[in-house]
Amino acid sequence: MTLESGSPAVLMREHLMRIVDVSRSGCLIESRHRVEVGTVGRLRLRLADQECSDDVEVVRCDAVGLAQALYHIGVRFLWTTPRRAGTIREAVSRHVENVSTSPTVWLM
Amino acid sequence: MRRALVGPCELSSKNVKLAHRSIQPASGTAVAQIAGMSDRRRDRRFKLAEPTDGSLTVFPDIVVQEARDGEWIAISREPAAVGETLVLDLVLHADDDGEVRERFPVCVIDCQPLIVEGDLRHRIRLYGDYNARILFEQQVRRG
Repeated sequence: MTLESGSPAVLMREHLMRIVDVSRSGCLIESRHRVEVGTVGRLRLRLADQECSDDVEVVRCDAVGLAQALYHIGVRFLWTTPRRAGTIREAVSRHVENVSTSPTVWLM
Repeated sequence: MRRALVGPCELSSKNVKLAHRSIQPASGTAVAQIAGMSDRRRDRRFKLAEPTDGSLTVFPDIVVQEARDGEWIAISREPAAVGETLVLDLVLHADDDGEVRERFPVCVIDCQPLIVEGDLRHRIRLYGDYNARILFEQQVRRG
């Protein structure tokens, strides 16, 4: 296999992160790595025993760690697919309905 | 063990007061509603009651050239750490019928800054041989 010089390609990189909070429109995640604002990627997480993912765009990245590199990264969901099962948007919407309508509140 | 809670409880974290209301659905991850959110997001935010890990896969564009013996030279806007394992996604052939892509893991063996037409870029040397490609495809098929 030989490619001509300067062929376009994509170099995919996976950042492991901790999910801080979620909403219908985006997430706040915490990472040891800085990510440029405007970066587009695919976010995967586990919500309610369900693996879900969505395409996202990084809208802010703030350093929050003093002793060690730690960043809070705000991402917004990109509507590249419908809000169907398996997407974070659908999972969050389902939970939001549960929180809004449930007569009983449970504390773990 | 779950305990029933009547009404919301208040949590104070630094100078931010959070109205915390947690709900455990039939199964899965509990979420906690946060009041007094900042105005950066238009929707209410929900904290996860249990820490949840996730992964963000990013797809930066590069220009790549195959060197020799499984080595590749990439020109990228972003640097890469030596020893880091990334996934190279190439379009080998494209026409009206579609495109033939190849995707395989590569290891960063060197990364040097480079100025291209006045802009900072990074020249990244990558190594990814055919065996690594086969193993990667088998892992992807297994899920």
